[in-house]
Amino acid sequence: MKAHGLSVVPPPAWDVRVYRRQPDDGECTYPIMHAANFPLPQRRGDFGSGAVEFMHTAHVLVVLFEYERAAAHDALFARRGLPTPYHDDFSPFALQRTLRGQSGVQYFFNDHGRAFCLYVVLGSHARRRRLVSVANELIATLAIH
Amino acid sequence: MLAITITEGLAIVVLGMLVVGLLRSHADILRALHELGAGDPDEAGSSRARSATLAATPRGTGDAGHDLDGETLTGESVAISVTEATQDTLLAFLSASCYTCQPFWNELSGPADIPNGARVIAVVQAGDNLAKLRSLAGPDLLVVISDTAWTDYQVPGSPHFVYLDGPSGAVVGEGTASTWPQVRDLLTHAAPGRSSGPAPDSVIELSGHDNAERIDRELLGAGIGPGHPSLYPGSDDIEASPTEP
Repeated sequence: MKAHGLSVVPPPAWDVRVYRRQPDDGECTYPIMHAANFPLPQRRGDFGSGAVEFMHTAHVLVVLFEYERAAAHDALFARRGLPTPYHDDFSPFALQRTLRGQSGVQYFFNDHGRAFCLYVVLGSHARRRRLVSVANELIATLAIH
Repeated sequence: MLAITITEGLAIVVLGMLVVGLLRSHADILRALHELGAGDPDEAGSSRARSATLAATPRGTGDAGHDLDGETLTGESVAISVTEATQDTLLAFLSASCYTCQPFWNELSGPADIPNGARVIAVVQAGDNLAKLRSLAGPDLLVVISDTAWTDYQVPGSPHFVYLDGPSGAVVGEGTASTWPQVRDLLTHAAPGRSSGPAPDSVIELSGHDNAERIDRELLGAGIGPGHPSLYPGSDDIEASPTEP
């Protein structure tokens, strides 16, 4: 699947959406990818609100959120290349929407002159070792062009 | 006077023959409808069972489900894997213009009662009326625009439904229907209370149109090939042996 300069090969049982919001007046919008090993609901916030509420303990949500290109030179996005999440990086306090038992992580990075945030939510902090490998199966197929 | 009487008599005989012919044709239609179970819920069940028997014959490569790739009505690119899923999937091949699709849009755009917790995805073709589709689908029904899916599943027309087993991704039921309860029946009978994949011979089909390849296969299995006289209504050779090519 290729869209908006992103490509991904979803593993079995995964749902992937890539979209770009319709801009309001004067606004610039950038591509966003949502990938989950559970059915994504139609109504979702950019960082997965509306979807995380449906997550069970075996579920994983991966969000790739692009920022304006100029931000790629900012210190926040200094990391180069798509990161590979590590289980120790996850925390129940790193969630955009805090839900009991869940865990998350955010990595800011740049790739091909583009600025991104990779946000991963796990359905269970206690099972993060197992779930991170599930998330990484998807992330390993992700490419930024 | 005699000529008038004879003419009248002939007219009466011809009209009588016409009436008898019409009555016979009417009786044939009623018999056919009765065999299909029309108007009799019990018979309808047996009709479904017959369909199931037909569908239990080995199918071709169409047995395996195909992942969905396409766009949503809001322009999102979408890729959905239907294999190794924890829930079953019902693909509803619909269109904005087909009159018989209307009840399904009405049903699926709201909080529909879906047996087995199956996920419902409406699949439409590119070039369909987007504005009308948006208004029919509402905000919560996932609609995927994918000509590839129509080809992959050999969809003969809309409405058409394909029911996929979650863990295996195999097609466990397919066909057309005119009402939502018929589709619910498909889901219920294809997977009655199962928690894992169904047996391969539990394929259930709705009545109605079907894919051409399977029809050809079944006809050939019954000795009816291209050019067979029974395929041409009005032929005098309809009663010929079905093994004749």
